[in-house]
Amino acid sequence: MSPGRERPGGDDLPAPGAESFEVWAGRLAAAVAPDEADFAAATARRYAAGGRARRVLLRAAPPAPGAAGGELAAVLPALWDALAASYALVKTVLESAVFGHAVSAAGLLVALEERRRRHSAEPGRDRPATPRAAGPSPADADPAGVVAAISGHLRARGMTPADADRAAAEAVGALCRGADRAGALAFLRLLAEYPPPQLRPRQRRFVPRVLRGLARARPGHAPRTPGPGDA
Amino acid sequence: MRRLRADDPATPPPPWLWLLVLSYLPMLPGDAVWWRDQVTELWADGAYSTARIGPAALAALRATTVSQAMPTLVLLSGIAAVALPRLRGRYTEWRYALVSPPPGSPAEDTLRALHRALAPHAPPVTFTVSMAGRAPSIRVYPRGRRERRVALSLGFLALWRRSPERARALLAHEAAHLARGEHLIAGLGSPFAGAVAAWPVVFLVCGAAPVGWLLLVHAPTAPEMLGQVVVVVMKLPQTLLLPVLALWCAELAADRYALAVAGGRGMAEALHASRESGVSRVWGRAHHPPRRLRLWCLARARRPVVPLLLWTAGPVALLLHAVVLTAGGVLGLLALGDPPGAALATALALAHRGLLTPPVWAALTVLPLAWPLLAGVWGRLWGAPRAASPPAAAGSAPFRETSRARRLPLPLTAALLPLAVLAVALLPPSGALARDPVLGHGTAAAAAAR
Repeated sequence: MSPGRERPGGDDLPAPGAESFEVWAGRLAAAVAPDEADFAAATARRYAAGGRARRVLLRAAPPAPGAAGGELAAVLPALWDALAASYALVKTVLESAVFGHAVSAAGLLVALEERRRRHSAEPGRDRPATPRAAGPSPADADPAGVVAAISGHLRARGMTPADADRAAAEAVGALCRGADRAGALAFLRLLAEYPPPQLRPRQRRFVPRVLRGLARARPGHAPRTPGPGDA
Repeated sequence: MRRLRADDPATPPPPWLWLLVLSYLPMLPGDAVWWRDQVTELWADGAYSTARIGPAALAALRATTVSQAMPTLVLLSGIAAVALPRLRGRYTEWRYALVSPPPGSPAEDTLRALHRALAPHAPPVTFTVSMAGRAPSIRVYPRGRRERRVALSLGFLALWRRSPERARALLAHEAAHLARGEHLIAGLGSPFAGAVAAWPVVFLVCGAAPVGWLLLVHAPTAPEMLGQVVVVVMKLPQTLLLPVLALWCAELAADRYALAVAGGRGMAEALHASRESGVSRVWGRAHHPPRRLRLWCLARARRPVVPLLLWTAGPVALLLHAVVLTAGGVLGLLALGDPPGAALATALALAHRGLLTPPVWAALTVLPLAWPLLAGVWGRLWGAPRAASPPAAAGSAPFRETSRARRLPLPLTAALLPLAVLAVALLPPSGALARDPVLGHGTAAAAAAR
């Protein structure tokens, strides 16, 4: 199945785990972006469906500049994308019996800082060159490593570093704290079953650097995802 | 018929946007004739040919004619926006990925709260939600002549929980547009606003660039094309002035209403959040006033200056249009070699003739005077709720003039300017236009010059 193709059956997700899917979407939204809990399940379903629904969710609508209130971005679409891209890492952590349930977001942030200090000789480690890493590295298979990977994907979607770290830590904490890890894995598997949309390497070659830079700079193209606390 | 107070924010200013679009209808036949003549002259071996002006100049002339299609496009898009609301609504929903949340969805409570907040200020609407990750916060659009929709972004739904004061201000702003029927002309996916915003780009590509190319290649007719350059350059402000001012008035009036409903803090927060830069900032000016102007009006909301400006916007725009027409006429005639005095006289005569275009000047003069009586009818036409005034926001003083006995009533003050315009328009023509060898009519010399 090529990247970005719609899930067979369109928006219909498999019946087993459907209830867990909505529960986990709400649980993650409550931890990361409580203001967006109303549409957590809807956006997660659209992401999991893949195809055009996912592409629309991850991009900015055509701009309509000048209006009061400007344009507002949601956090959850970027979060689902980051979780899908980090599925392999998260799966390793969740399936491991080493990491217990007493994981807090604050503790994860501290662990993340310590990890970054240890890896300070390797800049850019937390920010993958492409949204999808080649695969889980044994050194990353710990909660702090998962937080770093998810944070990197959120930053690539335009979130500020501090907000990305916080959102990633809250998400990983919520995943690890839940008693139903099987449900969590099922939720993430549904998100990650179809790879996130991205430019394939051979397409990148034919996009001149100048145009890529202009596209990144243009308002609305690469939405600056606000942090969960942005007003 | 209940008379509304002119300084009451619930009383909308005269519907300049609607007047502008309706004034386009009688212009259609004249535009069709003009285009027929242009096509005949430029493409059917009429007045211009490669033998007379050279292939390069002919190509440039044809390209600049494309740029002159934009005023017609603005005109047609305004009429189309009103005539085809269902088509526009379907296109807008596709473009912005707007969906109606199903019954029983978790967002139902939020949407019910939005309905309750909107009900006192606007006719019944349907909310749709954009499933794009980033989208305009809240905008109105039509889905039919009587079917009004409000498009919300996912971010706005979150904002409703996070910052209800700012969200209410934005909601009240859009409610004002709905209550005045402006969603049919402006709003999300508006072809009229889009055509107005696209005009500068088309001008640069098809207007300025061909002439610049002629100058670069040192075409022999390049200096003679300078007159055409002036015409094309001045066409930009002439074309955009009236629709842009009309759109700005609609936005400022909606801001005023939102301020009265939600208070200054919420509205100020909303305006600060709309800060943009670069191309978006320039593009946004075409259909929304600058943020500084909006904040300036908000700061002076309780003074009569803002409603006075909104009520006299039509005559002011007409006068500005005459000034631009005069300036463009002078520059163009100077480029053609007219002496300065004759150029000025002819240009003033052109502007004077433009002021007399019926029935525009009549409507612009009568409307401010009669509007306090007509405003209620206009609101009922669009299904606006029968609220006397919006409930004052918590902590804000009501909108009242403190010493009305010392000032003329607002409608009378607002009528002074259109009466002045009318007086100028009724002055006898100077005859300069008829004497002009190029623009005058009915002389053999004029025919030969043409």
